[in-house]
Amino acid sequence: MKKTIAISCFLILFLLSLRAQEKPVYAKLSLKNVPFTEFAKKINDCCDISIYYKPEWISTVRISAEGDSVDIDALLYTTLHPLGINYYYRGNRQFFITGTALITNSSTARSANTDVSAKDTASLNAKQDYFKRITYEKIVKNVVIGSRGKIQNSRQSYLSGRITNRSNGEPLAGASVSVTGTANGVTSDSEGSYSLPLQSGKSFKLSVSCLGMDPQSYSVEMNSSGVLNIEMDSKLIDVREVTVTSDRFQNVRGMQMGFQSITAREMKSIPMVMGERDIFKVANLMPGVQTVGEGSAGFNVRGSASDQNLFLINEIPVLNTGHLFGFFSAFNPDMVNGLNLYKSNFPVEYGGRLASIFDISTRKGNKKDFGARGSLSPITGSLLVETPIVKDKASFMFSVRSTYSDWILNRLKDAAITKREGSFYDLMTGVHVLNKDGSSWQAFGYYSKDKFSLSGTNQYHYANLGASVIYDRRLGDKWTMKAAAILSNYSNFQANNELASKSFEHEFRVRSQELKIKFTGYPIVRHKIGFGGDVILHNLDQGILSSYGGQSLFAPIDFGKESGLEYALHASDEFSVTENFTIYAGLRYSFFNYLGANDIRIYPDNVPYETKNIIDTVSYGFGKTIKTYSGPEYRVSLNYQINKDLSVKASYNKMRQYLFMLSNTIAISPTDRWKLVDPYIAPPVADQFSLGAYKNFNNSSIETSAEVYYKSVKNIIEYKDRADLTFSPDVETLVLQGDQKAWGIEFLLKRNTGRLTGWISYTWSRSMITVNGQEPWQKINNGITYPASYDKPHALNVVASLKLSRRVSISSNIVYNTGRPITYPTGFIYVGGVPVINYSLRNEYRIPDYFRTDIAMTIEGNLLKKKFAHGSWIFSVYNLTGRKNAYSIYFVQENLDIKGYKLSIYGVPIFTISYQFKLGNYAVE
Amino acid sequence: MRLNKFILFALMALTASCVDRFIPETTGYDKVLFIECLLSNDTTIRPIVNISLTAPVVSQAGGKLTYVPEKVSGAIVKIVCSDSTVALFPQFDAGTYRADQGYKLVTGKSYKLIAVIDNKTYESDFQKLNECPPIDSISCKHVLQKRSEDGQIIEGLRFYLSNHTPETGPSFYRWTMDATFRYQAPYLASHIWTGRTTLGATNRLVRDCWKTKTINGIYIGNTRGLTENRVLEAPLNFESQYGDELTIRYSLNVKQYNIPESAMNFWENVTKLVNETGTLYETQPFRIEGNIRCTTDPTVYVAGIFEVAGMSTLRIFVDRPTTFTIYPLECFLQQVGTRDFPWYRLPSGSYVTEQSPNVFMTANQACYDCQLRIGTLYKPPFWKDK
Repeated sequence: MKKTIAISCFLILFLLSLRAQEKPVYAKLSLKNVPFTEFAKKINDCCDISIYYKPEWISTVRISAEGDSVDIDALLYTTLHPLGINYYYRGNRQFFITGTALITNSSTARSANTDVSAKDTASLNAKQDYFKRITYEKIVKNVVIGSRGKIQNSRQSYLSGRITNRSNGEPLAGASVSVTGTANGVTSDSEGSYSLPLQSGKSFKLSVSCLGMDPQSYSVEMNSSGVLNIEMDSKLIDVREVTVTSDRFQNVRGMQMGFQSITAREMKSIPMVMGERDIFKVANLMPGVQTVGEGSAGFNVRGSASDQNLFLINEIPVLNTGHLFGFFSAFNPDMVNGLNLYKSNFPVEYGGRLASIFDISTRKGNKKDFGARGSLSPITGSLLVETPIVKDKASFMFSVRSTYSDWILNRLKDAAITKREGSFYDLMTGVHVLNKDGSSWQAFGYYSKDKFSLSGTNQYHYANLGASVIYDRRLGDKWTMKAAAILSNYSNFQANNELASKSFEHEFRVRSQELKIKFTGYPIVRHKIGFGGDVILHNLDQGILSSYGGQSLFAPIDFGKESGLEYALHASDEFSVTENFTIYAGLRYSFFNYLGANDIRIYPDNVPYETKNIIDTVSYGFGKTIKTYSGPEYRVSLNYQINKDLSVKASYNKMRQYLFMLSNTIAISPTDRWKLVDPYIAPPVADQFSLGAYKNFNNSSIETSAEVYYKSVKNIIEYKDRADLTFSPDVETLVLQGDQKAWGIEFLLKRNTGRLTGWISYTWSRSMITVNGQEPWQKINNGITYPASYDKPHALNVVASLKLSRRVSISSNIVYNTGRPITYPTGFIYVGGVPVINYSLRNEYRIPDYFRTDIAMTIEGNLLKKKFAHGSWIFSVYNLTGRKNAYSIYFVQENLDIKGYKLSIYGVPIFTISYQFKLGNYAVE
Repeated sequence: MRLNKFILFALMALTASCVDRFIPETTGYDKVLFIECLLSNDTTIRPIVNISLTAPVVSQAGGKLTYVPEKVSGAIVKIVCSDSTVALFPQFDAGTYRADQGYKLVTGKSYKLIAVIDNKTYESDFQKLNECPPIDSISCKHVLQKRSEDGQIIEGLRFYLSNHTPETGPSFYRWTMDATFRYQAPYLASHIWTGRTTLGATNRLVRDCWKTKTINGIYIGNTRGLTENRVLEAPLNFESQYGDELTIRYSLNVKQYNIPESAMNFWENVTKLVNETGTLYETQPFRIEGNIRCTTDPTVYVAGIFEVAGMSTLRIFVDRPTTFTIYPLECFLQQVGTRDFPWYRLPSGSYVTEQSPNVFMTANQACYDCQLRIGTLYKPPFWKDK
């Protein structure tokens, strides 16, 4: 009960603070013409009001004030503003003087219009409102683009360039460049490039903003197309700004639907099991992203199977994203910059999976100084180093993360019966080059490896290897081009020595080679055109299951090899019909050729695909096309912006998938193989419709959204009862294809700024499968529709982070969801005197509901500017209430009795301390 | 995909996971017919057919899910031989149908089961009675195991079976076992309490017993996919260090049945349900289907297992292991004739031991008389001492 109260209080606090506004501060003063420094000292001593400034800015300023409650904000405004000195008030009795900024025509015009006496409080409020807006956007400079002589009035011209972080030279992705006060704006791509269409011969005020960066404003005189490279500064260390999760325009104005962007900062502040920061676990707290249970590697996005998600790290597809059977993610959190998750409204350049794209971007390396960072947790240690190769031009970085789980495993109390060895590590390295001409190169390599062995009876090894080279450049002033070459290889080995005579080993490999190119441009007014193509050659070596050890009598089973060529062409147009109405129409046409060399088994018509029914085998030569699949993938979306804080969006998407995972376990297992669609298994195809409303409050510091979706999947791959994937190479004998319907509604309320940040998400969703072929053997569950194993109708996540001071913050998660469906026993039979359980039809029941609360406290090291290294301690408790959430319910026969059991993965509160460090001070990015 | 259950244990230990007893709310009940029959050339047993309905899941205190299978009487049960002879199995007991005295199966011939229940006919396929290869050896090894009740790690012996046959495979085997062991009541009595007084007496004649128990569980093996038709050390039962089993001498008697593939599929499914649920990577549980079908209405779901199998046996003996400690049933001695435990509270006929003059000790009478542990004083005819 106490816990419930505490949680409720926390929630209420969270909701209340969403409404909190900055309160004015008052002080009793009696000053006559005193120097500013004296004034600042006085109000600090008497009233605990802090003013931060550089002495040279205020050396000539003198203050006069008299009264019992003088409004300090008003006093500063009336004193400093006429002198051209800017400041801002950020609550918590703190004022920051930002010095003398260059005043542009437009802003001086505004201040001239609003020049009123300090005693006119109504005007003062208006002024404060104005100030609140303007102080966040430091006006930097006037720029003239093109030469005045080249003015071509009323012609479209383009302002393009690259946005980088001034401190380390890294390109800033997702930064927003827009014409102030209009809907005309663009966001920078992953290389920081942007291109904004503007009318020639006019002047514009541009706003540039990016998460974690100080916003900038430019006054641009646009004569003809030209380049404006922008360097942004990291935001002042601000008590109120804990995280800024996405560009504040995007929720309402952007075309994105079913989209979540997660940053490294968010990852840091959220409590995680065993102190392992994990961007996927954060993603799991977003609406529409679920797992079947704790510690399972796969995600179920909007009611879809876990192999329908494409995980990309710098364009490299990663097939096994979990370390230690999925308990931890296979990506070093220090290297991860952010994650873009698409659940619907997929851009045309993405394809190959039905449900989602997890697009992970990494840091690109510091181009100014040498840097290093790392962390220590009870499970792993990690280190990342970055260094410029050519200052301001090229950088190199390398990261390593490794576990000491062997050490832990051997301390377990039952280590005597099962001697275990387990280890994992991952390596990432990259080189990033920014050329003067605006082009950039990025080379990236990734390797992750897991090893686990038990008592010498079982061994599991798996590894992901990937490399990508990405080239990005501008073509004239209207077009940009991005090309990438990608290689990935996933290998998996298992050996089983449980029975000497039946010991076996099996290794398989999935390799893909991919080339992709994409052009984006603004050739016509109000149209953003994109087109391109990609081609992937898949080579799967399913391996040979062969005898292992000297005593094994196993006859080898050859699982064969298969190849396929997946390629697609795509084109899209984002058309801004009016200032408030935008249409995105895209077509991706994908093809898949199942290639030889391969032997195809032939079955007579209308008989089950069973090994005993094979009548012939046809051999195809190397490179010969055995079967072709192709089809259009439509991507259409609309955004109607009702006002600057409210929009409605709708979208329709079609997706096709040619590579899938062979898994009949409820959670995906590390031994699961992958398979291409073939002459007997048709590619699954999904149609998704979604509709959403997006509203921002409080100057976009609060984002809300509600989205409804309906998804229909044809040719979903399901497994027959009792299918044995370990020993059967003929996959068509194990699977049946059916239909899936998934629908739901997702609500999200997110606060991005202030002392208290976080989000509340609620999802109601269903996912149902029907496998009801014509023949009796083409049915699963007698053809009756059943809920998917990951169908969890209600899901509520509350994530909150409260900054107590500059150095201390606490954060908490509250997670609730409906228990997953389960097949329960419906009867017992006695076989030879032994009771055996018989089961119901599929997924008729549910395991108990899931509830968890976590809490973490982060303590930063001191905030000295000049220090060698900065450290922070994170204390976290996962599953604070110690609730024994059911992972599964199962029944075993023990001594002539059947007993029911509940398995909980984390049955107690788990307390962890972890330590993170980096070279430099707190503010180092 | 199959993953070792040990992974679960390993991860559980790492993540502080736990397993608790769980009683589901009353679940639905499928009333399903279950037919079971094993025909073999084992002449010591008269073949029977059991017909019952599946028992509903009933929750009871203590988390036990009881099951009361309802017997099905009034069925007509017959076994048809490939030589067209038909043997009727008359009802012998509720739900049990037994062959007539003298009914024998002939190796090389095929048999099928037909049962008519409520005007519906249930049939198996014909199955051929094949000779069963002999068991080559039964061995045992010292192993550690986690006790399911409390998770404690215990030591004991696990038995393993090996066989081979020159016949072309694959072969499918099911093993059933019974164990007989010799044990001894720990204390030697000097007197017996008559209810009034103590008389000099000895319990020497009731100290040594033999006890036979059936080993429950499903033990199967096959040579599918192997290069030789040979079973190498297939695991059988486990005897723990706790109890009387391994205290003196232990004998395991294994019956090996050479079963048809359809029966093997049934047993594999049953064990899959037992072994692959409750792990991190469990598969979807399913309805058990056997090798008996309803021929009059194919939509009727029936669970049934009909096995025609040649049989061979092997008995082995093992002495008390010396590599680990054996803990027999505990026996605490208590002084009798004291204020706390006066003589009149001792039941008459109880054995006592005079530890020192006039100091009488006693214990649970099962610590004097081995028969009270459901053993017998008669040495079984097959018993071979060391």
